Amino acid sequence: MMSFVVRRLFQTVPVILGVTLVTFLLTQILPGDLADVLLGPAATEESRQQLRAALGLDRSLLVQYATYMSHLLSGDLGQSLVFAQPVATVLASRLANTALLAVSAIILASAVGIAIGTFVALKPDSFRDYGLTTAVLFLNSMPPFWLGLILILVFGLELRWLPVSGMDSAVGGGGLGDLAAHMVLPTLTLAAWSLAVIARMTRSALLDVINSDFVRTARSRGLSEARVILRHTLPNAMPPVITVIGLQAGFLLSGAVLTETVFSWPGIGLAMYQGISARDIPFIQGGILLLALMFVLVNFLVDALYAYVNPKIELQ
Amino acid sequence: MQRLSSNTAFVAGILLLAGILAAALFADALAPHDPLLANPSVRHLRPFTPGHLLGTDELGRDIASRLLFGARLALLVAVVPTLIALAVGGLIGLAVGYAGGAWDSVVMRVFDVMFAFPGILLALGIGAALGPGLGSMIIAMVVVTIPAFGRVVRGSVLAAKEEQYVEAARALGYSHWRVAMVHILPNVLGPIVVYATLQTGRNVILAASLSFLGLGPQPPTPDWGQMLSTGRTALAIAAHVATIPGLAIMLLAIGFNLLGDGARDLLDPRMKRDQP
Amino acid sequence: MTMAPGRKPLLDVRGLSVAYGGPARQTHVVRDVSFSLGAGEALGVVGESGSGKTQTMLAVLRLLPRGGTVTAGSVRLDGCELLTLPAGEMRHVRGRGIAFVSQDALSALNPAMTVGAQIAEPLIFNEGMEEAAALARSAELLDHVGIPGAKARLSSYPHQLSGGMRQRVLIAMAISCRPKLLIADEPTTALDVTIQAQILRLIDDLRRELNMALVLISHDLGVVAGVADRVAIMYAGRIVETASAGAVFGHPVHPYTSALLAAKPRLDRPAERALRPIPGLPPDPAQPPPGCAFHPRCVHRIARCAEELPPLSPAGGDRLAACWLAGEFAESKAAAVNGTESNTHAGPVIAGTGEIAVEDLSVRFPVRTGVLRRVTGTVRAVDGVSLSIPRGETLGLVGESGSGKTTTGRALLGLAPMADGRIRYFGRDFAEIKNDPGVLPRLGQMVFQDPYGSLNPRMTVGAALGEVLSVHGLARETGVAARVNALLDSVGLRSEIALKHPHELSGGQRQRIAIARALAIEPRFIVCDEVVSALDVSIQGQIVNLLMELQRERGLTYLFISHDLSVVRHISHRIAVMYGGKVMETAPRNRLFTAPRHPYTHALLSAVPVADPKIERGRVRVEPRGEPPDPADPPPGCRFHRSCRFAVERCKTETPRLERTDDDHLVACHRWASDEVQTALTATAIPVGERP
Repeated sequence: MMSFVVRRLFQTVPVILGVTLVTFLLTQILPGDLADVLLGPAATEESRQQLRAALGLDRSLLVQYATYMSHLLSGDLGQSLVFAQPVATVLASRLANTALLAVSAIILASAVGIAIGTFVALKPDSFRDYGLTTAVLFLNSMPPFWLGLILILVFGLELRWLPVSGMDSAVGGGGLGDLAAHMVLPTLTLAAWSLAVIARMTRSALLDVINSDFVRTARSRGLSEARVILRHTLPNAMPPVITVIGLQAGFLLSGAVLTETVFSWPGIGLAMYQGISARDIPFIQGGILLLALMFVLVNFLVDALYAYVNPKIELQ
Repeated sequence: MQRLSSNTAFVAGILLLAGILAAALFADALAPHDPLLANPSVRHLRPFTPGHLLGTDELGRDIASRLLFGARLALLVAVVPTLIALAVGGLIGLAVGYAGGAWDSVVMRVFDVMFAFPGILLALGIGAALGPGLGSMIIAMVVVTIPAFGRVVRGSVLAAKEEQYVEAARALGYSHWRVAMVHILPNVLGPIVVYATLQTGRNVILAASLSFLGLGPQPPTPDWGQMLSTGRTALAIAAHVATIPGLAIMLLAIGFNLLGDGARDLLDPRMKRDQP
Repeated sequence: MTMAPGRKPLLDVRGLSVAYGGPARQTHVVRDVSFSLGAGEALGVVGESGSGKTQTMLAVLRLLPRGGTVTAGSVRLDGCELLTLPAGEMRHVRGRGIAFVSQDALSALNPAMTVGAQIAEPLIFNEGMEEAAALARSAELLDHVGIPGAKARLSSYPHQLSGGMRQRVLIAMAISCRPKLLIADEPTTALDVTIQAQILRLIDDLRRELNMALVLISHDLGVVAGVADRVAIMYAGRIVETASAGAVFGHPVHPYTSALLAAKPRLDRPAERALRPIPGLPPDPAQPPPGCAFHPRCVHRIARCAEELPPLSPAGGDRLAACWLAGEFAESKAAAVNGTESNTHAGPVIAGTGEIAVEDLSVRFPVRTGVLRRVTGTVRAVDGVSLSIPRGETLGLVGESGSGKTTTGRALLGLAPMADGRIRYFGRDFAEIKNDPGVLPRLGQMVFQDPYGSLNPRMTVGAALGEVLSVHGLARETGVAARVNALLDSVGLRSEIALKHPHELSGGQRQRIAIARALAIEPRFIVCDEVVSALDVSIQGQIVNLLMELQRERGLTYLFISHDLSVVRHISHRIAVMYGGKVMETAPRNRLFTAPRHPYTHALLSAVPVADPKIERGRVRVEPRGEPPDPADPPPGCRFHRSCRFAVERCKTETPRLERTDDDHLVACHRWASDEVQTALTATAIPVGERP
């Protein structure tokens, strides 16, 4: 298993390089160039040329990429226009908030998704199975930010049960309870889509395994139904579910942009939304790079977990 | 039972999409008002107000009319990127899957890098870099979905290549072109069409998301995602301005998802259900 | 049903029926099956696919897959009704009362649990043993089923074991709670013949030792012959005949039983006997024919057979048979079977000019590992093979899985990369023609093992055959339909079939289409790769007969690859035996079976089961030690030396070359001429049928 993990680690390196190349290339597809964007339409041609020279935009693409990479390695992601601070500083100050939301959403989606998927798989083609199919259809056809609005409408504005904006209350805020109350709706919104996908995957993976020969073998040896499900069925159904959870982690990281915008949650996503309206290209570039690297990391961890769950992987 | 229910899904999907398509085609005849005509005297009218079945928005424009015209755009941004990405990604996948070797490795590594960008992020970056607008939104959507099509087609081709009938075709002295086009392509078409249909459903959401973030068609163009985004500001006083376009987006996505799920079960009942 | 009087039955099944689907569209797969079994008794249940043999036993265990229900009947174990037992109590019956061993051990073992944990599980959770004690007991069990180094094996995962080992583990699991009855469902079907012999012996030894009753399900009469005390033959969901093994094999009464026995070539009969396949197809379980389900295929049928279902009734001695004419057949010698006797080979029909000659053929596949997928090793799938096939003859190529026989066949048609060697194709050099799509395909064609996979599912039969003709310019536009009809006719199919898609056809029909497609191009040479192994016994004979007929008519040359020695013996003029990528021995058909020179050939022959209990029980088997070599890391010297009883130092270092023993008989063994080997091989001679 260790050799697999090490091999997988080596495979990650070119991917990370590729990711930096793609984020670098984003500035190359700008109409005009970065100097135009940074200075806006009012600037003089002279100041543009000066900035171009300062940014090295007159150099070859390769040199520009090398410069970009060397800045990157020293933690320099450029200067944000909207926040008038280094991009890295803004990202660092907001990373924890986004991670908090994403992690609680993935935990919620995995736990509830696996539970629902299992519950349904135990009685396929029943009423509950059709219920799940329908719920999945609706959840996966719903724009996630729209679900957020509906939740705000119902639980915030109508029932007035939960706060709908930010991380803490302006008056009498603070404290863990207040934070938790603010987290409920964004977490639900963010988790809904993934929860549906995970539940559906769990159901089909379990049904595949439940009909397999080795489950029949376990039953033929008089083992209890609980052991048959918990010891023989679930562990063998987990690999595809884990893969899906890894992929969902990506959707959660990008979904944060939409969810944070709807709930004004002060994370990287909300900042990126503000960056989009102001064409703050350096910040958007930095945000995308950070979230993509986090996704690469998550996928690596998921594969390591996969190797742990599946002893056969050693052979590949 | 299984077949019957997938049949129902298929038919329901077709009916739903046909309805939306009709609304888009006949928007001129069906719309009671000019979708762009602002009328400050009737702002935020509730649904079921006489003359304004679905009410009016913050500028007093008729929401029903805007929805009807918006359907054109919604269908366009769902279908067109799918077709382009399917053509480009599909050809790449077929070529590298059948040929294998170094090209296959290179293309797959490039795709791996694209997949490292989660969800809508890369589309968001491309859209933001190119500047907001319908054109850049479609370009962004095409670029980010090509790898998925490429991978799906390549995977099916690799599986089909292992089939004995492909080896039999080679033993019979058929040309590579014939083997790829007559023996492999028709056998991988079914799953690919299904995938494309489901991707169109996901494109509905993707386009709405980009629009919501301000990267789509700009006001006053009637665009569902953008209607939702602007309606959001008045959620407390006129919730319907934001919720109704969201409902429309959902119906369109449901249409494509039903069609895709139904087609999957109908085409090949043994095909693995519930792929994410 | 039959059981020695005075003994109380252990298992008593009465009127059992199993159906799938809802009440509206029910398909019965088991119909009114009754049998009983005494303690320690062994019952063989034989039938083709879809006969209901496995479903019957799953119903006994109440382990029918979803959708399957018992619609009628009773199952009693020691007098206790199982079908109405509460689920909790039924669990106590499973494992302790009845244990189950299924066909494919790889899928029957939990891939994510170690062998030790799986064996110990019921000991801990059902029998309440301490974990350490349970593991110790598990090691004992592994040892008991003949797994060397049992203790170390406890921590292995199933995928780390060989097929034979896995089957042993499955058996160890089944006997862990000392069941009174063991149900083994095709326990050896996925295994090579030498391993099959080992596993059958193990099952037989265990049941005697533990005084277990045994139900052995198989499609192969030979497998059952050596083990079963009694045999039940199933057809279309019903038992059609049951009696003691001796009576069923020696004097079958039901026409289906006799037809089944005559359909398969046997090593204990002269190879020249014609195969008499059963005409027609097994019935569709959803719509069985009225009356006796076998009547449409039965040569003895009378009017009554189509109208009334014959009950399973006594037919002399301890025998029960479900046939209206059972009484007559029981008195006469046996139910005569269909078809006429005819000589299989009259020798090569066309005096051979040219031949297929293979010299030192090697095929290697790279093994890639690591991050960079570097080539770190080579699998020597075929390693220096030399063969020759005179024109118009059949060379049988036998060997176990991994021996390289299929790769050899594929290399001959340019479908596997040739690393080394020379092939001459009827006087032409293979290197010159292999890349010419206009030449090689017209000389050599292939018929594949899997009739379901070798036809493009999207093409009708007519389109597939027409494609060959038009690609190779063998028929003008207008003539294609006529040629397609002629091709279908030549493989015994009607022309309507041209409009059908492969999924609308049976396995036998598809294999005929695959043969017709290969014939379309009018090749001189055909590689037949396991062409009958996916087919039911009653259909196999039809295909074998068709191939032989085509050879006689057209002077075709065949390379017939198969793991089934009795079929190979039937169809071949000469036979080559492969092991670990090398040819061990090659000889004329009868010579190889009556006077094998290579210890491996001898072991292989002695493992083939024969459908005759008298022969089976008296046989001395030679079991090769250990497992076949890993083709990525073959042993030096003779590939077989690790498993060979006669190996000496020289065998470990020096690879033997094929040498001539008598004219036309080649063997690759350093020791074939030694007295030790000669004596041993003669002493344990196999009762192979010779020319009458």
